[in-house]
Amino acid sequence: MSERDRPLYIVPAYNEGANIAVVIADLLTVAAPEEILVVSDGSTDDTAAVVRRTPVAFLELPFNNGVATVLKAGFGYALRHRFPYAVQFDGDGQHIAAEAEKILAPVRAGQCDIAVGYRFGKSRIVSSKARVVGRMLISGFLILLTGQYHADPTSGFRAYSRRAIERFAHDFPDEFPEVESIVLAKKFGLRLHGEPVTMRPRRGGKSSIKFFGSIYYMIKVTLASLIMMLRRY
Amino acid sequence: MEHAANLTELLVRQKIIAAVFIVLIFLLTIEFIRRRALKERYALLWLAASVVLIPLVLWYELLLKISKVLGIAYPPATILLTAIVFIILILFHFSVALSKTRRHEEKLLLRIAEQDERLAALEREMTQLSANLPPTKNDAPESGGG
Repeated sequence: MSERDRPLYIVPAYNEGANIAVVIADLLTVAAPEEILVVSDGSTDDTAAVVRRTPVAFLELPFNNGVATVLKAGFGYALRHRFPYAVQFDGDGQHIAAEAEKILAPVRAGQCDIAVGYRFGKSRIVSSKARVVGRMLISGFLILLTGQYHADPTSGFRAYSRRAIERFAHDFPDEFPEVESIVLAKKFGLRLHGEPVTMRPRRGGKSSIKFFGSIYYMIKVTLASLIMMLRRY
Repeated sequence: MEHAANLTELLVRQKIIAAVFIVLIFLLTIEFIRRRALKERYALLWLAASVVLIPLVLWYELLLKISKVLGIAYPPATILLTAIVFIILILFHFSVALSKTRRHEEKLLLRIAEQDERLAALEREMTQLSANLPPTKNDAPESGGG
């Protein structure tokens, strides 16, 4: 496989000082250092220091602005460095580098522009009832808006085609992009595909979406998605 | 007696004017988000205000009940109070948002200053390095001819 067939791994990291070294080591088994871009989202722990001791590319955002900004930075970087694909890979250690090829394959084959990896089989974790209900609501809502079922629209394990990178570098949702980016992809005419993958359980168990935030999350995502349907792209 | 009842019961005309105004605010907010002139985060309280005020204006029994609970003798004042509460909430929200923006602005300022300094140091180092280097082929005619 030629050099230009290789993706950029975009790794969002917010206060992942405890996990990021292991994540980078894992990624280095499948990618060269210059193919890995860690973006610290205004971390206040030692994330930056840990990443700088490794050979991978690193961006440090001056303050926390959400994973959407991290991805915008990543897509821009992928464009400037002419990567044909990008893989979004969480910095908290729940994704497995060896599984990335599963979501990359359909993108490489030209079958889709965005492949979303969802937890499969034994790697399914016990989620709180509120989380399960929330995910069902979002999945149902997305069927209404996009006419397609998405097994886990909140998954942050994704592969992007060059076309998807170009469109998203130019226009991407803010704050919580996972669900809205699916609606936006539909508006852009990008093809989506879900792929079952094995994931590790979340370490520490804390989600970036907290209880009070989850109410705002649902309202914001619903409102933004509905208004996206009103826009012309 | 009849006169007193007319004073407190909202007239149909008043209801229509208030409802049209509220619906306009709602639609304007949606349109501004659609045009990306307004972020969802800063539109939510405006939308909430519209959604809460509409039933108060159109549903008089509800307005009466809430006025009784709040001890407000003149029910239309409840609508005004609700609107004022939302205005206070929106203003406070803006003050907090503005403070956050100022904090971020300062971080950006410091980051830019730091980068300027690092870039200048790098340039000085580059100049020194190239001054210490032996002349290259391209430089040769100039230094030789001088």
